[in-house]
Amino acid sequence: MDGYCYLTFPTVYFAIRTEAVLRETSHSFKLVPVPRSISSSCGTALRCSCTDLTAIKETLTQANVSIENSYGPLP
Amino acid sequence: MNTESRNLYFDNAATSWPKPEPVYGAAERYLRRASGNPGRTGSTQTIAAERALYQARESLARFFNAADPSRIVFTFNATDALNMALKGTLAPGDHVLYTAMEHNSVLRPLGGLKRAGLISTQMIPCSEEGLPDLDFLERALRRRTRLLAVNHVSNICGAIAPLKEMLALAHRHGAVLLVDAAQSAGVLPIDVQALPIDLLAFTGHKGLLGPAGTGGLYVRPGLELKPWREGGTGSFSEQDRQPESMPERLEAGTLNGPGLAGLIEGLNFIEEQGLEQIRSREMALSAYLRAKLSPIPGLTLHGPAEPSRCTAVLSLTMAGVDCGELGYTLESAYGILSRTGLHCAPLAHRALGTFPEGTVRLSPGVFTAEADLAYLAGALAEIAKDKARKG
Ligand SMILES: Cc1ncc(COP(=O)(O)O)c(C=O)c1O
Repeated sequence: MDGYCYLTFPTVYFAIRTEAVLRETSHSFKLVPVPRSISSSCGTALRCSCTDLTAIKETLTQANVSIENSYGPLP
Repeated sequence: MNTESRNLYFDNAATSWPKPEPVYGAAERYLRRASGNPGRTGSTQTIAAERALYQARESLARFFNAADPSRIVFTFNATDALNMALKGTLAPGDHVLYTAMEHNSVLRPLGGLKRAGLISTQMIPCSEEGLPDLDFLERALRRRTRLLAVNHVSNICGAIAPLKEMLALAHRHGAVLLVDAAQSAGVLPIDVQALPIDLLAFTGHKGLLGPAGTGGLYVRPGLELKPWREGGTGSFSEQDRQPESMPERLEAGTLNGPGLAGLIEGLNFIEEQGLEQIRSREMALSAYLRAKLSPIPGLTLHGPAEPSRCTAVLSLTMAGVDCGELGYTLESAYGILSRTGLHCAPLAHRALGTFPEGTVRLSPGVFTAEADLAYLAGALAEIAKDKARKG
């Protein structure tokens, strides 16, 4: 696969909350430092496979997690 | 008498001790593994630190039944939360009411704002049992009254303020209710949805059984405070103004991660034991102690005796014995730790009729056993007898 997709969040609180929300699903994801090529108000981003991005965004939105932006694919 | 195996610490109202065992381990684990500055850059260690803070916020929200965890702001103790609440809410010209049972952590910030000519204040008197005069409160509320500050539980005599009635009165007059839960959090159930308190200030190192340097302020949704402390949050770093989102709005600076990691375990302990169970056990112990103490000649217990109206915090005086001296004798001759004097609440001692001498305060905790109280009562009986003999 060519690189990952990323989601950024307005605050750390939401970044950490994604773990609790997504743990209930089968998506694989990882919290990582925000890559240098993107800028975000919080230093932690969610990294996932680009095929899962839409589904993950939907799950998070339903769980009231505020998403700042989505990016990808990045190398 | 052998005191080795006894728990003779009766100053849990100052700070609870000992802590549940997992509290120590969690703070140590955080210090060893989860360091890195939460909210700053996203290294793996930092994310572990962020997780601990997230969990602490969730645990506290669940504990007080707050629907939205982002309304729980971490502070360094109750004093910090009370300052944040008062200074973040009040504006020039506001009128503020407070009860005679308030701690200096409310009285002094209010005094300062008043001396600066910013606000006017009025005290709600309390009875000799430490209960506020609700008729007086109703008459004192006016159009300009912005806030009513209430100490939920007296740190001197354990008297419980009638929050429900006070909240109804405050809200009917458009005032915000600030509750000082320093002595009640972890002791009495607090549900910010069942009883829609606007501002709830609490500390982590007393009834919540966590480390010192932890605490928080719950801010009701829709109420936005002016930031009292401004600085780095790790978010919106390009802006030179404090972010508006909660909790960052009120939470600048590096937080007490190790303390909060410990506090989570304190909350877990309370949840496992059950707050109701802890409360009924404490009240049974308190009744036992009162029954042992009341027959002692010359000893007076202050505050309400009826278990539904107080917690296990108890204040006493002994006729003809200075309370500082009594506290000293308890410690030096019996190894018993109490707290003497005015307990940072001078107006409360006036209400109870124990100003300026103060009282000896005895506050058992979750790890106090009946045998410890029997020893304590025995010591006080002996001191009283000695006093009567020497005159
Ligand atoms: C009623 C009351 N309010 C406020 C405080 C202040 O708590 P802290 O020292 O944790 O800020 C205390 C305890 O000292 C207290 O008993």
